[in-house]
Amino acid sequence: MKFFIIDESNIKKDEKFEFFVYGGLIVDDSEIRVLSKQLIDIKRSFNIEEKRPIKWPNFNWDNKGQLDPEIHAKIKEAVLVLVNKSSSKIIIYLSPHDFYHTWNIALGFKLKSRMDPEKYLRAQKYAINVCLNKFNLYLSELKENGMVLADSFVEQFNHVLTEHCLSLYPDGKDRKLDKIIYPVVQVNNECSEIHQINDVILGAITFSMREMAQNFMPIIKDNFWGASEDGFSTILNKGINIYPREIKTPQLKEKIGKLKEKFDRLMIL
Amino acid sequence: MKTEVEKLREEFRRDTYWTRINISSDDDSKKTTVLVCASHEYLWDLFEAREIEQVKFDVWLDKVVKKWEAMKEEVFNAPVHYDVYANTKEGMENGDKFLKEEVKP
Repeated sequence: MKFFIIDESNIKKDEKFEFFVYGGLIVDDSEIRVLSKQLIDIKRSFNIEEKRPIKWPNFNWDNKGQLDPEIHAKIKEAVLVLVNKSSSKIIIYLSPHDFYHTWNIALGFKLKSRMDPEKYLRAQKYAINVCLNKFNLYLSELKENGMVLADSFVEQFNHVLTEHCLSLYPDGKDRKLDKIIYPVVQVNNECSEIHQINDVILGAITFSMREMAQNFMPIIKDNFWGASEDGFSTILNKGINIYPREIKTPQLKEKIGKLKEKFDRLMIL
Repeated sequence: MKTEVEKLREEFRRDTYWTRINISSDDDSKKTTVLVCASHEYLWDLFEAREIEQVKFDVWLDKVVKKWEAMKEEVFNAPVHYDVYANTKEGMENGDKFLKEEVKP
C-alpha cells in the first residue's frame, strides 16, 4: 500500500519563482516508519531535539530560535539523500501564480497582486484533481492501492474542498479514482516526520527553480515518477505536471516553456 | 593595461555561466581579478534566444571586459571584484554568494 503525502508550496506571489506547487512524496507503508526513524537519527546526529520539526525554511521553533544555518542546510541535504535512497516517488503539480492571483490597484495607486478566493479555490481543485489522478495512474501501473494524506485545507474552503474530494471517489459522481482508498485524509502535519520530509522535498524543488540558486534536483531526480536516463522528458506529465495544458496567451506560453526548459537543465546532472 | 579572460565555464549546480578576468598594469606591479557570472535566464533573455547557438557569449563577455577596462587605474583599487548579471534581485544575491563562496579568485 502506498501513501501520497500532499501539501502546497510557494503560494505567495513574488518574482523568485512564479509557480504554485502542490503534491509531494509517495511512500510505501513499509518505508514510512523507516524514513521517519532515519529523520530522527539525523536530528540526533546534529544534537537537535527529536520533537523539533525540520522544514525547508529555517524557523524559530517553540521560541528556541532558528537552527544554525549550516546545520540546517546539512540536515536538509541529508533528508534529500535519504529520500533518494528510498523507493519513494514524487508527483507534483505546478501552475502559474497568475492562476489564482488578481491584480488590483492598492493605496497609492501601486499595482499589487492579491489572492483571489475564487481563483485560489479553482487552483486548489485543479491541483487536487491532477495529483490524485496521477497517483491513481501510478497505482494502476503497480496494481496496488493507496491513500492520500493532505495537509489541512484552509478553513475558509475546507467544506467546499472536502466535498470536491468526495466527488472524485468511486461512490462520487465522477467515479475515477478506483485505486485510492476513500477519502483524502486531512492532517495537521507539524508533528509527523514523514510530513517534514515532504516539506523539505517540496522546498528543495521550489528553491532549485530560482535564478542561480543551488540546484538540489540532481539528488532527487530519480525519485520523480517516470524518471529514466532520458531526463525530464519521461518525467513530464508523470512526476512533474505543469498546468494549464492548453495555453491561451503568448506570455503564459513563454513562461511555461521556460519552466520546462529549466527543469530539463536542472535534471542533467 | 593587460587583460586576460579565462574560458567561460558552465556551472550546472547553479544554472549559471562564470569566468575570471585577470587585469594587470603594463609593468605587472598592479593586479586585480574580476569574477563574473550570469544566469542562464539573463543571457537567454539578453539575446532573446531559444537555443544555445543564439546566445552570443563572446559579445556579452566583450562588453563586460570593456566595462572593467574603462575604469583604468581605479580597477586596481581592490584585489577582487564581483560582477553578477541576473534578471531578479534574488538572482543577483545568489550569484554574488556563488562567486564569493564557491569560486576562488
